[in-house]
Amino acid sequence: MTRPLHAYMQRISSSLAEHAVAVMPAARKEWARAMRAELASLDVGIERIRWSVGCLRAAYSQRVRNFAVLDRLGVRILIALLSLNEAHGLIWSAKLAWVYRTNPNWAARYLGAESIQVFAAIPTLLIGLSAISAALYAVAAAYLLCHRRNAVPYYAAAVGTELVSLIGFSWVSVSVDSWSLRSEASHYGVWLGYTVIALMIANHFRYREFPPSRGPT
Amino acid sequence: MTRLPNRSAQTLRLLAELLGSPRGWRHGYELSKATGLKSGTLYPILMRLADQGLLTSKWEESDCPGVPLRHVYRLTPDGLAYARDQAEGEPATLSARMSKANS
Repeated sequence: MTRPLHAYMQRISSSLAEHAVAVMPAARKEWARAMRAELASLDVGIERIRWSVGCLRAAYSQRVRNFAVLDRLGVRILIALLSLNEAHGLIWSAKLAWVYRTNPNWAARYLGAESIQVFAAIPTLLIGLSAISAALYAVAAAYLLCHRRNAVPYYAAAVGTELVSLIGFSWVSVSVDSWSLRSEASHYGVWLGYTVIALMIANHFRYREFPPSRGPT
Repeated sequence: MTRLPNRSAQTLRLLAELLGSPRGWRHGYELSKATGLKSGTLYPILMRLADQGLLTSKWEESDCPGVPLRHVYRLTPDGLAYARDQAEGEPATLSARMSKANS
């Protein structure tokens, strides 16, 4: 591995571990610091990344455990239904894009001539990402209904995949100069995504702390 | 259906590993390598075992200068007894042991 790449991976892993410390509930902070402290003993870049992603997963699952509101079945059902609605929207857009490829004449009538230029420019990868995101939402909803807090990583993956696909769709829309089309909604989605990411980064730096020189009591 | 506490394959693997060196303090990464558990799986189990009084932890100085303190773990006497029960396949439950300890 080249030195710059190694250094870059070290920075990413440290940053993820820092974020895990910030996310972990106060009563569990010591555990997050313990996970972070182990990073200093890991040399291999990819191993550090794997470790820090695990830290993040543990921190978020502990954070969600503190959401007492999720103990209510009604709330879980509501969130699951919203998730399924999101999954339906994603799978529908992926299906439309796919149908355009297989039956462009039908799609032209159904979607309208204006949207066709957008669908024509959508790469297969984005269709796949939308479908994957829909599947992840569905799995996360199923986990949530079964009162399994393991839904968190699936939600994180679903939102991440959707954000990437939305950015991709947005890029495609911009590239074909179609901001006035119905796909405008995806632009709002992208900007919402950017805002969430910015808030997460701001939150991360707000709680940033440096490794303790002495162990916490 | 409620899951029995500490009966998952991952927890049993960790208990067996800790039972292998009952008096030694073990680092998280070392445990992860020995059990094959990822950090995201390992640490929630460690937290739960510590909450249940089966595991104790402390911060340990490193021999290498500049390396931060590391968190190390080992089973408590209750944890050792529980891990032995599990290793021998006895149907001892955690709640029974904890109620005995509390009485």
